[in-house]
Amino acid sequence: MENKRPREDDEFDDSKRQHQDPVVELVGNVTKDIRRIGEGAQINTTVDDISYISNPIVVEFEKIDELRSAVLKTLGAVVLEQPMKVQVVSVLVMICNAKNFLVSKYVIEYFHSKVQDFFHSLDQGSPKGCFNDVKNILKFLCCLSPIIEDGALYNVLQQFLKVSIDLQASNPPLAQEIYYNTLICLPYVFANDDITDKYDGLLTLAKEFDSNISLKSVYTHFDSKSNNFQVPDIYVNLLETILPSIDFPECKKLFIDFKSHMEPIINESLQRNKISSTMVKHALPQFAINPDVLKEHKLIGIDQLWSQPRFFLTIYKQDFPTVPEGKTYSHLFFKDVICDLVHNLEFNRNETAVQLSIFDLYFNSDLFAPPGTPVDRLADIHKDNVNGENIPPLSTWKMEDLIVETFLQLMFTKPLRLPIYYYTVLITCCRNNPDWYAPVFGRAFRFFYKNLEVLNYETRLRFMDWMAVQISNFEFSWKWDEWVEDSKALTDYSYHPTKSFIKNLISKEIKLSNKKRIKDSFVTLDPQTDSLVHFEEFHQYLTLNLEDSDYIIDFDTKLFAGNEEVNSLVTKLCQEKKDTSTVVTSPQNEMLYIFNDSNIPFYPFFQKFYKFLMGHNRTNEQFFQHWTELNDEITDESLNKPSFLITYLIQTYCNIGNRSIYSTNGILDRDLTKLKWCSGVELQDSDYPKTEEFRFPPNTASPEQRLVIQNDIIDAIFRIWSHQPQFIFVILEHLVDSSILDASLLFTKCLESPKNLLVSNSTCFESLVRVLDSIPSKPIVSELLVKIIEKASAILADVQTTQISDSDEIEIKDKKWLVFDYLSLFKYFITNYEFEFISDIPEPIKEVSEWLNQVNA
Amino acid sequence: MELLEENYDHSVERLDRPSSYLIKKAVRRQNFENLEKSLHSKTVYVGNLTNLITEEQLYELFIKCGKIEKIIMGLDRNKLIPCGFCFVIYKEEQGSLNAIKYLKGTILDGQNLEIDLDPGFVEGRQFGRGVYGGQASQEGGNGFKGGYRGRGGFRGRGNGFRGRGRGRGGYNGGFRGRGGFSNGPRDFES
Repeated sequence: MENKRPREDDEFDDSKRQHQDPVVELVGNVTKDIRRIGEGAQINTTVDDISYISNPIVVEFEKIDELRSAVLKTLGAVVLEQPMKVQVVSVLVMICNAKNFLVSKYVIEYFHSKVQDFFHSLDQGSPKGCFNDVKNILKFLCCLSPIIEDGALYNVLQQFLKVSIDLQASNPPLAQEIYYNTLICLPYVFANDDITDKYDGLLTLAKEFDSNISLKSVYTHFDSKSNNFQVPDIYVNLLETILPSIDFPECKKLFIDFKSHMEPIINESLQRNKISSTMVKHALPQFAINPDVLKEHKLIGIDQLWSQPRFFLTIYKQDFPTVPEGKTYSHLFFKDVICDLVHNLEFNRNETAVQLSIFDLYFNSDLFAPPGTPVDRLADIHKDNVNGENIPPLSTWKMEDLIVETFLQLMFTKPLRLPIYYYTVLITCCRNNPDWYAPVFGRAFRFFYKNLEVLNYETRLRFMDWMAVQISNFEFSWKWDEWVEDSKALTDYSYHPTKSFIKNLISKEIKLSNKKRIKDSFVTLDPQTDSLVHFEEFHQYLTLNLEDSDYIIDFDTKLFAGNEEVNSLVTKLCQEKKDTSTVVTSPQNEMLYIFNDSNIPFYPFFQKFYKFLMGHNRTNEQFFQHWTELNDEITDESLNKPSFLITYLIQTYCNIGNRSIYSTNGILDRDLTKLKWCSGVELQDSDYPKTEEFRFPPNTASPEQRLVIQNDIIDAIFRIWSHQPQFIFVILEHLVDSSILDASLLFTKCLESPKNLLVSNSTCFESLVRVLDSIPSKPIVSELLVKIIEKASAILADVQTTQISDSDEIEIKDKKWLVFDYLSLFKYFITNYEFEFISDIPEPIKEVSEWLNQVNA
Repeated sequence: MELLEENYDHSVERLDRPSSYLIKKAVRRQNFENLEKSLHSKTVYVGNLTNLITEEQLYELFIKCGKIEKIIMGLDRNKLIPCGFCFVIYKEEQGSLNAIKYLKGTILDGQNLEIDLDPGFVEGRQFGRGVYGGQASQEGGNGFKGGYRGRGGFRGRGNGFRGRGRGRGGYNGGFRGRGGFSNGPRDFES
């Protein structure tokens, strides 16, 4: 079988591999080595490898243009995309410097010009790069301190600090970023160099920057809910922390001590070097920066993390530290690198996960406990440290805690990338090393679950989304037994955050899988009897229905003007559905479409029209004739005929396309012009692609009538798919995109729903956010804000106060939770949509939002 | 073709590019049209699905990468039932690039998703091309794994060495790795 015939589908075909050009091969090998530099656990081997890698570079760098260009670009890419490697890359450059100083001269000039080009591009109004890239380049240059002329780095860092101080009044976010970036880079000067007091002046200068900037409550994840609860103190304010945390001897301990390993190689190389027997130092001029341009500069890309004062979350709090203490430089140092790695390597999440799994190898080996060390074991280590049994004390820092904590902050605070990216990196990490990560995730889940009552709405939703995707990749396994008692205690609540969380999490899991599988996951193994225990408590959440059968009966009876026969028929059909429904019943079989029941009034006409719609290639003219006929045939004067007919039409399309969501959307697209006409939309020439096509008569519906029709369409879809919210919202989104529905009606429907769908159903919220994001003009946001406040005020009027008291009845408490969710939703829209889009925002709302922006965390 | 040339812009390979399967096919046929199209396509091919997968399940996961125009389920051309693949068509190009970057290899309903950029759906492609009407790769037998394109599994850092291809010999161990790949059960217990 080894000599099988080559096939087109073969992944690899070595038989036809051509001989490679030696230059291409050399460049390929050298760049590959640079990319993987420092990925070994042994420092001496790493330094030997680096010395080996440097040989072809120093020999061929000047001779082969391709090699020079490729090496410089690769170094640039590694420094920006894998910033944890800056120190080890700097070792390569220093060894090259000893062998051929022109290489390091080129390298320093290359990075200098990269930064200078960035500032030039700012002058020209088209930024190429961002300030975060400047930070990583500065880190790298700082690591090269031993081969940079004395005072040059000081001047450059001083220049940036001065820029930040001058910029503080005119462009605070950028000033804060430059200030923080410069200070976080500062200790890197001692990565490969001895500590001196040369840089103390910069710390003095930094004091001129007003770093006393509070976090705004509106941008944090927790909410005390009118001081009903204590909010966990988990924030590290980057600006406040950075300067006091810099202690050079402590900072130096973070880096690998390459010096002793590097020196013999450097000395030997210098002895052999015919041009210079001492380490050549290179110039690093200051940068030409136009301060006026910076005043107007808006943050882009990863810099946007600074659009609000930044903070890091610290959720892993034990009796002993599993991550560096929040007020230390180490905390900021590691999280800064992880943030940049995760954001800049976004195009390859597998590699991001691999790099995270060896993250500790790029730093001092004593800093972290061995990867995957369980917390219990760390507790023992801590105990031994306290008892003096470990001399020197062993580290209890857990790399996985640090990584996951950084991810949580990135995911939950206005994520720069799509949240799914962060989720899938964590999934990849967990799949690569399940024993390391699964318990760390478990502790994070428990932390946020425990704090659900104080989480804001957006964070709760994102936590739920993460957890659902996470466990869907791991066979939906979760310790459901931990939640049973909570669920039982909250039986009578509808809007309690914990209950809402459990309900929406399970419905999300069902959407990613199916009811049966999720039902089967509600089990645990009884250790005593070794038998499976099923948690029936969670079976109540398996139904996705937005409404019960009473709603369907009422809706259909009302549609037929209170017809008693229809009422009995629908009641009977609902009961039949209920009796036959199980967890494996398909959504299609759960659907109750009454117009194909032979006992329904006008059945023969419905049947005729249904058959007509089922056929393909029906012309507008044929449709017009059949629709007019049906209008004439429905003779019952007690019916609200326009409403009745549009409900019938929409539900019939839904029934024909009930095989799937895109089957429904497909049939709606097929008949889009016809549907627009029936919905009262004014048709344009573009609605008639064929020139000779029959044109519908002009629509005479008034704007008010059109509103009624649109609401009827929404109601019809809510009714027919009331058991599958996902179908409802995907179809409605499609109708909004197709200009049949006005988005604001959809928002009104969800806000006015007696079930408070916008806050109680995550499918609804996610769908409406997508709709909102796709609308170019945002006056709708201000409408929405007004409606949310009106809704919250109306409920508040019922409950009088937002203080939760033990003596409150459950119904009252439930309403108070609802008020909190609406207020949280208000905050969400305020913080996630630009104010310039909502300049017409009413004055009271503006005041509330401005006030929210002022409240400190 | 630009795509096939190394440009050293990044420190690792981008995932939002056509698979080696598509590239090799294009090179072998010296026809790069589909490859070019796939780079700017809004469509992704998704393989290695269970036959019981539904559009709704796919929607729930793929919507996280961008707004979806349409999902077209791959069907057994004889039985007209899903046969393990589909096409997801996004409204924007970025959606398909996100899907390949973020979702390739993740699990949906117990299956590892195979995702590849696609030059664009044309009518007829929704039907399986296997002898029996299903998906060719799944009907293939002979131990061909991983559906459609048969990629290898985890690259395995157990042995550590990634190889620099220069034969220095004397590998000192520990290069980029520690410990093997464990596929044991997950336990969220601390």
